[in-house]
Amino acid sequence: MKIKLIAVAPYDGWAFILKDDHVYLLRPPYQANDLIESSEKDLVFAISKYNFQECNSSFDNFEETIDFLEEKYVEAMEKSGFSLPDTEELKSILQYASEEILRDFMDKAENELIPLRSLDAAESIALELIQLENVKKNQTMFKRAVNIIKKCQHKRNELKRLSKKPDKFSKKYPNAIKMYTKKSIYESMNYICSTRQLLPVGM
Amino acid sequence: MDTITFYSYKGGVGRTLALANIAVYLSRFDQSVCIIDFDLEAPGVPYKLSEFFPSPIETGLVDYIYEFTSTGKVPRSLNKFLLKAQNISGKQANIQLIPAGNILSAEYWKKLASIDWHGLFYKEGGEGIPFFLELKEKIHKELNPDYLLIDSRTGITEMSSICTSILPDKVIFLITNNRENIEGSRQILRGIQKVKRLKNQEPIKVTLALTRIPFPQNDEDKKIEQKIIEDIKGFLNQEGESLDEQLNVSDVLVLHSDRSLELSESLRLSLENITDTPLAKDYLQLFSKKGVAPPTHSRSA
Repeated sequence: MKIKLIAVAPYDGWAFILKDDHVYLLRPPYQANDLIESSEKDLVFAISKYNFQECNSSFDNFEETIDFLEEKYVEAMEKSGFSLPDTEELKSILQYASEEILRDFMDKAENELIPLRSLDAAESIALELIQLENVKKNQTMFKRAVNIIKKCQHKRNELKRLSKKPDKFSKKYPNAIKMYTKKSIYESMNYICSTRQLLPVGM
Repeated sequence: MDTITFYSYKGGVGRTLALANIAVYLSRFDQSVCIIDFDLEAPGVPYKLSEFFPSPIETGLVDYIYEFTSTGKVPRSLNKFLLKAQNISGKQANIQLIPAGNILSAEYWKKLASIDWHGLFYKEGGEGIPFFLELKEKIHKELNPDYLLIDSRTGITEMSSICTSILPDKVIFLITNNRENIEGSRQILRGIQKVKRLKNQEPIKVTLALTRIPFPQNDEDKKIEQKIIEDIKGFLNQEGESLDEQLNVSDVLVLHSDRSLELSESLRLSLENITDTPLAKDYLQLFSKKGVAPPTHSRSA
């Protein structure tokens, strides 16, 4: 499977790709539902109106494509002056931080970094936080930090699956996908998995 | 392809026999039928249609599912899991059957016991949903029947829920007149009403049929029967806990009990003729009024 990256918006991680002669839009957080069938018309429109940059890179799979988009995103963030402190710097900031600042860091990890798939950054913040005495003493904050680590691990697993699945899935269930669409089947799988009931009996 | 599941909360209500009769009935009118025997723990379709499927069964649905769960691969073709009806006295019965499997072999029960239903549906990434949808669409593509009839497992299990939630366009729901049956049935009916459908799937249509009611001999019997129906409707339509589970049952058909059937179970509708019994007439009413659209063309009606 070859994936050709044809246009990128590095500041938000969106991209147009060419796969099996079809144009797709790929967007963060790069889950199954974030691969959307698109067209050359949309591509031209995005380049002219939304500052997508033309690109000509090829990748063997989704994992490599997403890694590349992540790197591009980090580069763009650094250029714009936004960067996360390195671990040592982070330690010294957090050591003397007030509860409010610690909460801000958690908000950042949970609400900004995880949705943007900066999972390593979100995880290192949470790992630093759970080692702090102030956090250890505060059950709510401690639990939240642990949850952030769990979320990062969960997202990573999801992304691994995504990078392996799309083509395999389409080949495996061609008739079902043709009839019900991949998106609808994924939604149904996730719903059943979360409710643990095929038939919603009882309350 | 119209997909109809035959379901009952408890067993022994004549579900499989109704399915067998409807299959033969449809075949009389040149409609092609595929049947899936999904009552994997107590399969019965081949017995009810033994005149059409006399050969020993070697493989079936359990083998199909087992191949997937043990290798991760969807079997390429349905052919080896499928039986075609043999011609009866020169008449072609356009019926194909995916039986449960060879229930006389130990292998069948070992395979059935090893199927991890929980993993198929509730484990993250479990592919039970696309697998069973693919089976349905494979039947559509490879066999292209006018009707796919599914004999469901009873109760509330993953096996029965596949038949009542993922696969059907319609459900023919058989109930008997006792509290445990009606209360359980109401739970299932409410569940069916709440099923989230996939893209291109319509809400599931349900036809209710009351069974094991003696054929009324006089006006008094008719009144009693009508009262039973009204009571059942009243119970089923009682206010639910939430709006989305409020039922609005307006019609309950009756499949009357048939004394001769108790003595010797047999098909009431055949390729050549329709046996003149009250139950056969009830079947015809069920087929023509609800659940199954009347065939647009016939060869011997």
